[in-house]
Amino acid sequence: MKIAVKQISKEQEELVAVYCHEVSDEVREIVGFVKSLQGQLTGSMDGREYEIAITDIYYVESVDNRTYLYAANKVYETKMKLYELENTLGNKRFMRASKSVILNLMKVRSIKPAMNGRFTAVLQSGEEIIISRKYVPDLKEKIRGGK
Amino acid sequence: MSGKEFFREVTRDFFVIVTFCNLAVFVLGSIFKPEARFGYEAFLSPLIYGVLGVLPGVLMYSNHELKIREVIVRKAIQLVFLEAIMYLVVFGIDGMKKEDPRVLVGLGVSVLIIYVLVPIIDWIIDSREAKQLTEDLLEFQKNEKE
Repeated sequence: MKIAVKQISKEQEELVAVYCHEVSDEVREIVGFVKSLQGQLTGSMDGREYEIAITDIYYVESVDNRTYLYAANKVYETKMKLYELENTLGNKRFMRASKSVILNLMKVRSIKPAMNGRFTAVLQSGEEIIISRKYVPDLKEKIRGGK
Repeated sequence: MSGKEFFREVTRDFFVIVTFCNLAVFVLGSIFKPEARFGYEAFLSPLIYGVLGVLPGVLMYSNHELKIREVIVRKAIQLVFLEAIMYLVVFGIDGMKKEDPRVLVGLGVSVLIIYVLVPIIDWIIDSREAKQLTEDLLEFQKNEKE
């Protein structure tokens, strides 16, 4: 796929266009990535596609090479990979909580200790997410800002 | 878990074990050998037991996050190793008489109590850290909303 970037004047509206022979998974991933930069993610549920505001997502989980977005009471599947979402959401109040989960810190109600030096994040929805001790220093860095 | 984190935890456990070993030696000694008198070298015993106590902790080291079942199995093996090491040192090297079954049981129970108390202390420390993290998190959320 060729890539073209063209600089335009301030008066013109910025646009990202994909010219393709068919709307493949790869194209959907590109579209999803661009939307994520604008604060939205595309997720599918029951065969339909939805636009989900990043701020509505509680956490993202990767299970068997599939990636799921968990909102208050809905679960969407996304074409994006966990590492792609980590790159996109990493500077937007999200952090990696374990090998398979990215957590929205704005949706965490409290933190409590878990077994073997880990911590549990209790979400506003009541769900509990394990924070691996590998990522605890990242959590501290993120919420304390290096203090 | 990185080697650095593992070392930090082992160090923390070492000092907790040393403290409880002091307590155990005091309790067991008062019961079974109240007349015994020691020199300055006796101060080294809890430190040596502390080192021996953290050695089986190597079993808990893993590059990946252990599952609950893995943790339980490794903890059980760790306890068996710990009891074996302590019996070997106390009765084999230190030359404690093993005729009195109360001493045998007393040592085994002491090791078990310390083994249970160490993670409880860890839990208390982690609880305090979790409380601080929650406070910092709520502050972070407040700042981000503004």
